Amino acid sequence: MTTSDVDSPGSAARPLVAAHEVSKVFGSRAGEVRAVENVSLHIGVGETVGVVGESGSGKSTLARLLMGLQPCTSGRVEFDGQDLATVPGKELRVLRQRMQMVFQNPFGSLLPHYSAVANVMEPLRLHGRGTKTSRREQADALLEMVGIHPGFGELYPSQFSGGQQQRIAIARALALEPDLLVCDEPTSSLDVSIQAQILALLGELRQKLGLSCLFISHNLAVVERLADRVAVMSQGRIVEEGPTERLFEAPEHPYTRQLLGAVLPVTM
Amino acid sequence: MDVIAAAEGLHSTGLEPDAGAAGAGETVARARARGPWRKAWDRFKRNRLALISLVMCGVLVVVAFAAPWIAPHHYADTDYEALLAGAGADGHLLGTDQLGRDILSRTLYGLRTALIVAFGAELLALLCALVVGLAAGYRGGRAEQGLMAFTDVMYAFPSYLFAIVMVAVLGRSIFALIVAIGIAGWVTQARLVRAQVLSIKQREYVEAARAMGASGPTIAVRYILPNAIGPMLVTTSFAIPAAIAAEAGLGLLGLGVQPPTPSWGGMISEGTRYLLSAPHMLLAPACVFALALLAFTWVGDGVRDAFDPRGDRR
Repeated sequence: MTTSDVDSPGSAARPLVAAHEVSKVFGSRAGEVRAVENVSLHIGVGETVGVVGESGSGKSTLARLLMGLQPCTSGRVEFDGQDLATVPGKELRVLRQRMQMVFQNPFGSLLPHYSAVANVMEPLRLHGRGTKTSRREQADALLEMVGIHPGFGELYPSQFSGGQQQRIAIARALALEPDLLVCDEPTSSLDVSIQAQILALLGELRQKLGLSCLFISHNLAVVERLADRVAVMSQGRIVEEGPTERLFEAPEHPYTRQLLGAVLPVTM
Repeated sequence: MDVIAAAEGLHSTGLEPDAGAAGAGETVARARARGPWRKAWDRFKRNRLALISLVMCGVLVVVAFAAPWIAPHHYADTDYEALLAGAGADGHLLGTDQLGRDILSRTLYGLRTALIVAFGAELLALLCALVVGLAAGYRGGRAEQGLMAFTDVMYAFPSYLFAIVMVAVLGRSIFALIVAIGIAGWVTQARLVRAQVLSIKQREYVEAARAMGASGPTIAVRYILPNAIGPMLVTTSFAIPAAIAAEAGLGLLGLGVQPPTPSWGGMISEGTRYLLSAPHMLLAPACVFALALLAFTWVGDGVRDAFDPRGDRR
């Protein structure tokens, strides 16, 4: 596998999604928690951006803000030029067809009372795509694409292993042919050999489908392998951002250096 | 479809399905889908007592339904030739009461009354609880405040007293009993539904559903409700014997259905007056009453174990 997509348009491309100085403050009994502070980040069409940082650095919150799953406390998020905060609920749901998300915990994010194939069909059904038969065919094809034998489609999420569950979740996220795929630590709940498979799958799909991708991980090796550009987050802020190669070869910020120094080199 | 087309020939990286529940291709035929309901049923089946009780309940329901056909007499028919006849008397298997009415027939009809009231009341309670509890849990706001305020009022009111008031207002009919018992019970269940919904709302699949573009009502009804129903079934299956007991209790107090329609409570109450001269009048309804309570309670036990999240680890 190559480290990154060579013919990617890079950061110069038209941004598909862009966060402009967004902040998110959670109120809690212990006082305010500034999960994300003044972060600006954009993802170009066809570009893969990695976000790294230790746990609690605000990566997941940033992903949810970019997906419009949570409102920003300040700043704005634009998807294809539209400010997500101003899009009315119904249109936002339509817009969601174009941005899908893969969550950290695959078992938790699949509907437990739906079979694997029903889980993959569900986004198609929600957006009224095709007929029941055509949805079923698409779902079978998607499952096959992510490496799940369609013969297992009738089984329920709890009957699959963690890696298989994450494949099903990926198939579901791809069902609507989104422009943007947000992966929030998609491999951190999986063991190492399965991680490699899922990453290979994501890398390949991204290339074949021309997806724009936001890839969140605390694992630097994962990000180095998939991302065109990397943003390093610490305590709710982006401390450094740059093309993957440059950032890994010549990190500027002391925190980035610290992060890089703390990780054993991983070869795939 | 573009995604599929683009992904043609994408099986290059040797992505074999993981080993695990589902492995190689030939096991496809053997792998059996086990959803949450299937699992609960499998667990229920393992409980012998619950299974027997379920059959027993089924028999009781059938008998109650078929009472007009299988009862040897009408419940109000009087036989003045045989007042207070003992068990085994001519034409009266379990004897007669002080008016010469057939005890067996009255017990069977009493079963009918008890089950109609119990199931009716629980259905009413469950429906109200699901609608209000779901709204309160998912939307919060007014529905939640209203429910909480109403619950506090209901808690402050002894439920028997409430039922007595309802029967006094609505009259002594099966409908009045259903409403009285149902309304006395639904608030507790609604709070349970609300608690369930609040906890399920935190689950990741609800957020995933929002990210897929599902609307609020879809999430509440299609994703949250089915996962809240298991625990609700547990409370409902315990509430049914409680409702049977409540119906008998009101009958005992003289607040049951209008005589001569038989209710077990009324029969037991009459039976106590002839306890020494005709003990069979008390025994027949009391025994069937106890049997019905036990059967429904044991089914409830089985249902509870079946939906216990720790159940599969044994």
